[in-house]
Amino acid sequence: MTEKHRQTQEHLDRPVVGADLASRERPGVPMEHEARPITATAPDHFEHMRPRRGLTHRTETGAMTPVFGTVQPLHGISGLLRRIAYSTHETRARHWMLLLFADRVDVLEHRVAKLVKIAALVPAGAAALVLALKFFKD
Amino acid sequence: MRALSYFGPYKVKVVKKPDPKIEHSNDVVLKVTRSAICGSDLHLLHGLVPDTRVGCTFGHEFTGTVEELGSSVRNLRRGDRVVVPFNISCGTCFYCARGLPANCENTNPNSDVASGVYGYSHTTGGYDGGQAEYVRVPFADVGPMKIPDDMEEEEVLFLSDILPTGYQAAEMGEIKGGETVVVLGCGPVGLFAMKSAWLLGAGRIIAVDHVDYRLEFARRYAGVETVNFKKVPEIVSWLKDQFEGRGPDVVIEAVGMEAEGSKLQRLLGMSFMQAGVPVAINWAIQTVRKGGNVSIIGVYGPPWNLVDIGTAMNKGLTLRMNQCNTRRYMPHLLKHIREGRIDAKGIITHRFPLEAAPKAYDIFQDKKDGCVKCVLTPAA
Repeated sequence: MTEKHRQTQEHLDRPVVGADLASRERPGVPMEHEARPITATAPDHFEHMRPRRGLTHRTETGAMTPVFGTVQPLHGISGLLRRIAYSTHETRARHWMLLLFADRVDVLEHRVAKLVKIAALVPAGAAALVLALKFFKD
Repeated sequence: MRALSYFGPYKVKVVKKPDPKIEHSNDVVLKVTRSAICGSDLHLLHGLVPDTRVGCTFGHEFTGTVEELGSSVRNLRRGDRVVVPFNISCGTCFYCARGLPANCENTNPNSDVASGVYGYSHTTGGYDGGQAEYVRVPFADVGPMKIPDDMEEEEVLFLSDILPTGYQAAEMGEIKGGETVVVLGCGPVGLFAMKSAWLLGAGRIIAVDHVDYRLEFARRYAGVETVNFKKVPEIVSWLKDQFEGRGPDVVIEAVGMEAEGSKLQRLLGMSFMQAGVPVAINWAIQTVRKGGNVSIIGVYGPPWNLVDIGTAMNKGLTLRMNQCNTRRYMPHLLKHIREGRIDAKGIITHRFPLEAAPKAYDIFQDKKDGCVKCVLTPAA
């Protein structure tokens, strides 16, 4: 035992070391156990959420899982790219590369939409300014 | 509600979003009381996780108070305080029933690689996360665990992810008493892996990182020996030499896809030529003794990595890995916290209101100001 090692051992609170040495104290052993519900209140049967537009699922399953997230549905060119990506198997590199590409397109779309909003506001703002000036001049 | 939202690589903002709703009879909506920033959130922030959509709210480590309940929820009532595991699991499918809720097959329509996860891209199901004022929590009778009345949110917050993840990492190392352990990475998960390795009976632990203040924190918090890999000529040889030239019995990889340590691997990993930087996995494989165990809990993306699998085969290694089956560990680790064997709250170095979340991300990713763990307080 090195001096450094001894110092480390002394630093430790003794009751901590080996508190879970016995396998019965290890919640994850064995990692895969016989089938049983994970909690006492886990539902035996549950309803399936109703599929809706703009959501994706992997091509292997052909359907949504019973429960899923509904935020940020597909839209625009990035949505089209994602739709194509999800039509290819996730074992293929092109599936993942297309998703990453779609992510960048999504960012670009968002920035363009923001610029368009600003561009639309500029003439409206200018018109309002002209009208206001005219009003006060009169 | 106000929520942190993603607007492209390295860009997040707090914006107004519609409140989440009950969408399934076993959902609840929580008012978020505490929400932590995880190291794996940085992979999202950096645009490295496929199908991370603009507008996505991050955050998979959170506690909250029940605001609304679906019609079939039996386990919770309005006002209950809960801590929520990061995986969304049905509790009864083939995998959940066998103790593998991290592999649940009923909550992620988009990929077979993982179950649903809060705020972790559409690759894990497209759920918004808890770095917001409110969050939708599916399968409320399965995942959320009530916080005991005599405990505070911050004492149990890390039961949601990093504490069980660190514990599972140590457990997968199959420590039976007296083993030598190397932990790669002194981030929050690495720290809890060190603590857990002691609980499981490790004989000696060396932690590896390149950030000096984190090494110092590991020495103080987990009572381990440390080494800065940038201050030794060759880290694998150095580590082997500490264990009679053979290497340790167990190596835990707690770094993930943005590892430092190899310029070539980093170039390939960060330019999408491979899915992340597998330097830490390769060091783990090369460092551990022949016949030893490598436990991997760092996050990597699909579809491929340049991993030294030939060395692993020739050395007869056991490689174990999984996303954490969080729900299995929560009651056991709650007991350790309650009895003072783990001071989970002790790793929190920074607290911010929700509005300051972008600043919190900056501090956390740049490792400024001695930052180990940032916690957001949306309800403050």
